[in-house]
Amino acid sequence: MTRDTHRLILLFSLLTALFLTIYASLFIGSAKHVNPLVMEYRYTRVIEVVLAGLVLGVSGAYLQSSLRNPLVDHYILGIGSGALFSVYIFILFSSIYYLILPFVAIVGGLTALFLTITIAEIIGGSDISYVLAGIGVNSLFAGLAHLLSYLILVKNPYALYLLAGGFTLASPDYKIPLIISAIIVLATYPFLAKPLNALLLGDELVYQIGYNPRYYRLLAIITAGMFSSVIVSYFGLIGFIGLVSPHISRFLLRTGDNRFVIPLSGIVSALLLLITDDLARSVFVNIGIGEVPAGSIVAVIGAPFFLFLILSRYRGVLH
Amino acid sequence: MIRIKKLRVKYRYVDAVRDVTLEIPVGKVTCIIGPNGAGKTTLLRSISKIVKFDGEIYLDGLEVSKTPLKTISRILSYSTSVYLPDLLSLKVIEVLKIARYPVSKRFFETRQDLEMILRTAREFKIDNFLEKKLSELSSGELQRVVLAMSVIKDPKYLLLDEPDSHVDVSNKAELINILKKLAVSKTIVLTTHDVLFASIIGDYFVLMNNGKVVFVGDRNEFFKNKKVLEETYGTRFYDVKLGGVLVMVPLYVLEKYGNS
Repeated sequence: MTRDTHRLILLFSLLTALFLTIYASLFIGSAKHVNPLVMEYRYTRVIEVVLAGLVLGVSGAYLQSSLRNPLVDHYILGIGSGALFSVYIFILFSSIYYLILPFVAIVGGLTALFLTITIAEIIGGSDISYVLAGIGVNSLFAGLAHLLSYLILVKNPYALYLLAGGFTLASPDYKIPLIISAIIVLATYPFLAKPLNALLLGDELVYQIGYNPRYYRLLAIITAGMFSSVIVSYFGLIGFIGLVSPHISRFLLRTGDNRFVIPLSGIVSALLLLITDDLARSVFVNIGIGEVPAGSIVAVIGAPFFLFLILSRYRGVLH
Repeated sequence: MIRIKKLRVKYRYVDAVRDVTLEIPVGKVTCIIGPNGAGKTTLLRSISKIVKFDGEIYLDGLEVSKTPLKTISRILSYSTSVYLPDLLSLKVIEVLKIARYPVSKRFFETRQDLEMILRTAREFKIDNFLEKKLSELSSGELQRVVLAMSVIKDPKYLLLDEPDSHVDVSNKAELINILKKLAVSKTIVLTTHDVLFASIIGDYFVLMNNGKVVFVGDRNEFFKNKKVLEETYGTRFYDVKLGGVLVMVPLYVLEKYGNS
């Protein structure tokens, strides 16, 4: 009982930290009278960063638990580049409609996800095989996206921003779709938390805990795949945040219990992404580099973490 | 009572179980024995609705294929060895909580659930490493955790798939004690490779070979029909009385090396 209380306290203190950071991102370090237009943009951007972080963090926790694989997130499984590729194809043939883009991205993201899972299962289904299949699918779609990015440069220079994801393009138009995405993802949490815990034990045991593992795995994967694709369609490739956040949460909570890990992963991810975006937006600008994409900063921090995971787990095991 | 009628399970092109008709009595320890690939595990998995099957299985009158998983999961436990990936590895206490899901009504465990978990943990002597990760346990400890998981929701039937695998000789006696204690209140159905082990704890025996049931009967009949057992395994068996209990010892050792 007391242990669970500690975990709830941790959850709420990180939530408080998130709100404080939101406040800081909006008001600290700026002149007394900020142009209302600037203020509005900043407000939009901060809200959208938090929503995107929330969706990516929860999605990462869903993917890791449902695939019983600590090494995956939407980026590694190829969902991100699949979504990006389909978005570019769409932009090539029409102009940007912000309401249609998410749906286009979902088609691409889920296709890539399906490809990765199929290949991974054929070559053995271990967690390493998911990473390997992901690398292949990822490279294919990322390569295609890069090629397309040159073709659409003339048509829409802003689309280039999606290659290294960032929030420069934050627009008030995105707010409603993002809020809806976050709500749907959070709404699946009460249904999925316990089955996802059971899924960690392996399929045979899931049946006799009373859940059909295929049904719940599919629900979790599709939810994660769909809504991380939505994020990609607006802000581009933001890798590793969905990989790192569930692990940080498990470490802080000292448990793998998804009833705690999933919400905390959402909060941690939002917090990290917001801090990263603040760095991208202010610090780098102030030291004269100019704004850098938040996606690159996340990758610079996240990729070594990924390498650390592999090192700690597979040292001397793979030959 | 578990009643099985004309059960047939197909894996790709092979029938893992064919034409099995069988009744498993309540309140007894039923041992399903047979060589590798005989269909023992598949039989248990069909009863627990883990694999798809043709034919009918009645669990206390409920037809398994038409009963929702939730209901079945409250009546029986199917247990087999667990493997957890390192980095996602759960602690013993968490695994026990998960095993309690079918009967715990709330999103979080109630006081009753936790009490039941602690009581069971003490019973199986696993209460001193509840905070350890599963990946850190010895195979003997893990085996006790697996058994605790299967009883924590207090089911009527325990279906144990090779509970004695990975258990060395020194721990087998303890396993037998645990199973005997459980048998007082539960109906146990288990599969095993070890005929000696089965003959010590079994009240009722099902012998399978190539997906078919070749013998069903209680202790008396089991020892009387030694011949079927010998034919199935291609090995001679010797029944000895040990401490007042008749047990069945395979003589593969004598057969191979005994005559020289």
